[in-house]
Amino acid sequence: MKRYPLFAIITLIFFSCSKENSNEFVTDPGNPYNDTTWVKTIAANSPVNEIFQILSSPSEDSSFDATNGSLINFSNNVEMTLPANAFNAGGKAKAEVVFLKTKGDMIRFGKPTTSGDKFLISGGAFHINVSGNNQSLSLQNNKQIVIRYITSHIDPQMTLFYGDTTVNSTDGFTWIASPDTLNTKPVRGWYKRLDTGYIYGYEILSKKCRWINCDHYADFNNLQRTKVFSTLPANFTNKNTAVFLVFKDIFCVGRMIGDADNHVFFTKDVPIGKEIIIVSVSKIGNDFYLDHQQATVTDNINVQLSPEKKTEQEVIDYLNTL
Amino acid sequence: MTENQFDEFFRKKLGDYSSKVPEDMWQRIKQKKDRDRTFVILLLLLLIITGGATSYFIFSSKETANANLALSQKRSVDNSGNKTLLNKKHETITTQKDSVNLDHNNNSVDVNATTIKNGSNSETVGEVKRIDNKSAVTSFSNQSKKEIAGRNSNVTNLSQQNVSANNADSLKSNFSNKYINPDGETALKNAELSPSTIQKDSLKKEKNNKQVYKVEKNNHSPIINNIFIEAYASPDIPVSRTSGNSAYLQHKDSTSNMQLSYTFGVRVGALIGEHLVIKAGLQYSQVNEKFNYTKKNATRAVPVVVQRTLPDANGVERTVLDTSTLIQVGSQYKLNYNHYKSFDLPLIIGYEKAGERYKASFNTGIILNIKTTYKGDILDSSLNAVDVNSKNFYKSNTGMSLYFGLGLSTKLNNNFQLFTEPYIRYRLSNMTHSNDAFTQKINVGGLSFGLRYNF
Repeated sequence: MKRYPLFAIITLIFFSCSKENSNEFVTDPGNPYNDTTWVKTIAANSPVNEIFQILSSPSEDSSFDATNGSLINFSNNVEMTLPANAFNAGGKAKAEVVFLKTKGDMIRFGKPTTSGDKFLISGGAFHINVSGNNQSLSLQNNKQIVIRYITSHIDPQMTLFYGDTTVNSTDGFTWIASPDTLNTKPVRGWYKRLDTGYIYGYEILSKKCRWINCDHYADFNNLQRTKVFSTLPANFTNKNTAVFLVFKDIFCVGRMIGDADNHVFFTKDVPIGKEIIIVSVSKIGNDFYLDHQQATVTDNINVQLSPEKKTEQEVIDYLNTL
Repeated sequence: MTENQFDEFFRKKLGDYSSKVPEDMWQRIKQKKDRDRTFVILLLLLLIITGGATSYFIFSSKETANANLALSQKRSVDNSGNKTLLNKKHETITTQKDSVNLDHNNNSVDVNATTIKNGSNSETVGEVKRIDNKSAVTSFSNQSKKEIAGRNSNVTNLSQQNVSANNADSLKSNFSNKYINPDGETALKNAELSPSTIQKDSLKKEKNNKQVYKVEKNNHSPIINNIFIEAYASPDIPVSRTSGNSAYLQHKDSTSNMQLSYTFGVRVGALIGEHLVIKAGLQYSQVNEKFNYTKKNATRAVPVVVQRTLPDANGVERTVLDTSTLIQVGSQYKLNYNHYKSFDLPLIIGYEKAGERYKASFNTGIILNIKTTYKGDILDSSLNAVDVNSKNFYKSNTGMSLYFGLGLSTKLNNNFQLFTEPYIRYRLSNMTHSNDAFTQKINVGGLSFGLRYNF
């Protein structure tokens, strides 16, 4: 009879073994996906600023004799005339040029066509750097470089804006109208007769290198203005996401400002009734995210975006369609 | 360049080259060695248990036989002085030898003509009466003067009755049809032995009686006797055998570990002849597997509602509720106990060898799977943890398995036996579908404990 309790105990052991399952998820505080905080001031090394460094295309360069000057032809029918002794050093020099000819280019380089809070309508922008002996050269007073390029149409209102990288803004950049526009018109239309017909475009006379832009202020025919908001999922903050407001029918791109208090991007003074595209580009970790939504501006419109992971090339390909 | 030069060139360039060993090579070798070691340990354990049980049975049987011999000799010596029931019966048989007619040709006792006298009292058995072991105990111990006869009783019945009456140990025996009791057979053998021979050499009588008993029993036992039902439960140790994509298997094996499992069931069986046993039944088996999954840089989506205040150009604020999904990155630690549950039909054939108190058996057969269900998680081809049923990895019917078992049983009373049986269940086919990234068999070694009821 002593065997019965033993048998019962053995049976009990085998059938009473019930173990609990567990599924634990421990977030990694160091992972950029888990950083959902917004900031008042965007640091230079924030992921959002890496976007533009990665997406921007390299410059095109050409060597010339700074003492004698030169006419240099670049791709996209861009030609640049560098006068003799125009720079603070002579001898062998190198000219580097980046041509921003589309709205997508403006986004890729993080150079929206705005001057302060005002929209600019652009006819194309350039970044010009002249160097000799690995040092940047600056134009001498009363000297100017001449840039000619082809456009699809000529806007007689176009004038010259220089890029200001010292301004305290979302991008740390804004366009400032050239002060010498008061004396001479720095942007003119030009044409050339070819065997096949005429080509035409703009001729820019610039007394500075670096960022120059062929723009004029957008008028919008006194349309009523409003704020445009854009909201994104919690993972997308102003530290890792840049949101742009792109006008469909004009060469005008504005970057929306991140409101750290309300976790929302917004742009002021957007004319009601205009067709726009809200484009967000994000970089979280090593991943790019992209979303874009078309909308017609209404009063205080809020455009919700849901970015999806994309490759770098997919982002560039989309931006090239703008 | 000649062929020799060509060879020489390669010999010089590649003579001292040694290819790199993959970083995880030793880890894989170690894992395989660990698996092999586990299997060997299990096998050794099984052999030790089996060997120990068998040895104990044999040793126990010899001791019992020796004790019986001693007891028999003692009774022979004391035959003249002590008037025990046994001696009384011997005396009766020897003195009434002529009244017992034993028909050796048909191996039966003519009951109507048999008269068993006890001491000075004697009665003629006028009716046919079957006496089983239990009644025999009473009748012989308390009513020694009663006459006992078996209806168409063969030698076995008569012998059993005497065994029960004369040997106290045999009263506890549950293997009544299989056990040979020397004392009990004495009564039958006495019919053909001279009184002087019986009294002087009881050991010789027992030996002769055994031979007679066996001949009688072989010729007259029913083909199927001793039908029984048994219930059993077993702790099982499953051993998983996988093959397939090595990279996948490496992760799978590091994630999944077989755990103590169990089987329980019911079988109905019958003894055919003296040693052959057939059994069939229904059993439930559950193989437990520990699924311990860790994934770094895992993501999870958490639905969140963000309340935002949107101040318009005029300073008027409006609140919007934005429902979105928050993606979080971190480490996922998942601990699951997978259960592979199967209902099976065991068909077992066995060989039993019985002692006085213990019985050893070897059983083999097949186990037919009726249905198998799976619950838990498994790694998919992307090494993510997914529900085991989401990818249809496993078959719902896993086919046939082979069964090998070595049993040892002991009796609790006249009807119940307690038994234990180390066994191996070896699967003949994979549990996974043929088009899966891996194949898997889960073989099982177990130790059954059970209770048998003899009808």
